[in-house]
Amino acid sequence: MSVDVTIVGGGPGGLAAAAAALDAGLRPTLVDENHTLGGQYLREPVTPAARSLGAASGLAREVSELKRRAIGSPQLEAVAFDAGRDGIRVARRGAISTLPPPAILAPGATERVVPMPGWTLPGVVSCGAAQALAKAFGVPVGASVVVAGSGPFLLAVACQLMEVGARVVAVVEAGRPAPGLATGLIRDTGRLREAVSYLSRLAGRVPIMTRHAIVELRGGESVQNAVIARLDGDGRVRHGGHIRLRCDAVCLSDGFLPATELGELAGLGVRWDPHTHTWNLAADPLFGNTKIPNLHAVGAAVEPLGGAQLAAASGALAAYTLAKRLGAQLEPRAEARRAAAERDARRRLRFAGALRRAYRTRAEWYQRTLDDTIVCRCEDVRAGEIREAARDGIGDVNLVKRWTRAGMGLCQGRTCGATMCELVADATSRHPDEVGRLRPRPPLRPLPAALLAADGGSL
Amino acid sequence: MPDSVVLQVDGASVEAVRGESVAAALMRTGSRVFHRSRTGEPRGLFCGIGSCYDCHATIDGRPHVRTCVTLVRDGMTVETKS
Repeated sequence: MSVDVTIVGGGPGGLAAAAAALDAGLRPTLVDENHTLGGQYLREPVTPAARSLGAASGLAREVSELKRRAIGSPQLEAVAFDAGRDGIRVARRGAISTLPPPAILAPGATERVVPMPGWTLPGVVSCGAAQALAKAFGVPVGASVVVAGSGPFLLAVACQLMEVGARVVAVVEAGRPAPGLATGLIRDTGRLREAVSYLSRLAGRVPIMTRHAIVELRGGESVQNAVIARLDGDGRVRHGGHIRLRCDAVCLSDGFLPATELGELAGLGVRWDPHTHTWNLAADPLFGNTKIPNLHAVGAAVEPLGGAQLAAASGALAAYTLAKRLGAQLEPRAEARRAAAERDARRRLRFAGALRRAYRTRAEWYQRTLDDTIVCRCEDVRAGEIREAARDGIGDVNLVKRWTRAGMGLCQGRTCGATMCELVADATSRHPDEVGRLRPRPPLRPLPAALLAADGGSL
Repeated sequence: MPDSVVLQVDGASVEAVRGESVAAALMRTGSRVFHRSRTGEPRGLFCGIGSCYDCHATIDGRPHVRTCVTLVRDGMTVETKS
């Protein structure tokens, strides 16, 4: 038998799914909106400067192997902008096509950044942006960089910045990772080695300030200073003792926000994760099974703390599971690889559980989002306007969006939606899962109107 | 194929590395401001992965093009309003 399977996302989850699909006798069509495969975590060096860094990690080798095995003809620069019962709608090179089910979605995540005054200044970027510049192009985001937010990603980015010649002024971590992390790391020796290697490279060279956060960024045409404050155990700012650090770039990351939009348009549900304060795609975190039989979802969109390793293991597992449900008989060696992927996925999921206990997203972080802070970067809507609308009785974020225009810009609320939920919840003394969430609307990326019209305007 | 290309950024010639994004080329040469926001604030690269649209600039006359996911081409013109 040979059945086509659509795979959305060319990161670790999608690549592993494509490789496993081929292994199981399916014909994968992989689509990704980027120029190269690998997603964010496995971003390949593109320029000679980046290649010369040469940190050929085990994972880099793994991914080139996955790419070699998985990919006949991936569709790159292909934007999956809508989904329905008949499949995933993809725009590529001025044409629209519909890729039918079965499908495996591995759309990944974007970063949570808690806004504070000055976060829109040029030179202030997400950690992912700094990582992409360093890994793909060998370009440091600045000469003197403050890395701030929460999570183990801060350490990785600090190391990558040093590799490309930046001075890391400080790593500012809102949490104080609990002892649970050590236990979890021991269960996952690969990630233990990774964490120890980051910490040893930073030790003695970069101050790591835990239970601290940036409360203000200052500058003119670009960032020049970061003001740091101490936090209490709940993540609230403590008064007094603020420190000012000079810098010409700041990298922020407060966790990951699952990219659920495409799955939701395809009919999947979401569920609230109280530890990460995220809405995750409702799917089994190991096999990617969802309520729709021919649709699987894997990776950071399902488990934002799973990392590349869980994404890859569950991506493979989802493809094998799908193949078997479609009637494929796995060869003994393929069955062995399926079983190995299952063992790996279970182990990685346990580690994600440990990370969940060690790093917690706190509603209190958003107290740093003062009323004059821009929340919606597209429409320049400030926190005070959102809080005022909520206090005036507009209790659902979709209505706040219509009232204030927050979330109506080019990015369609991907950057400010999570902040809006937190601000509206706090202003009305509710939990963020009680205030609604911005509904995804097709097209998920701005597309030329002529392209949609030529396609029949079926949105 | 030569490894470098030349862009016109706000009228000035800027050398860039073939294969890199417009955002990378701008950041490497110290440009931080890529456009002005609705209320006139300077803005530049932010998410770096094509999601937030805040790194947009006018490229070859087309407004609102994301510099972080657009690769440099020889002779490309970039207007940043910086």
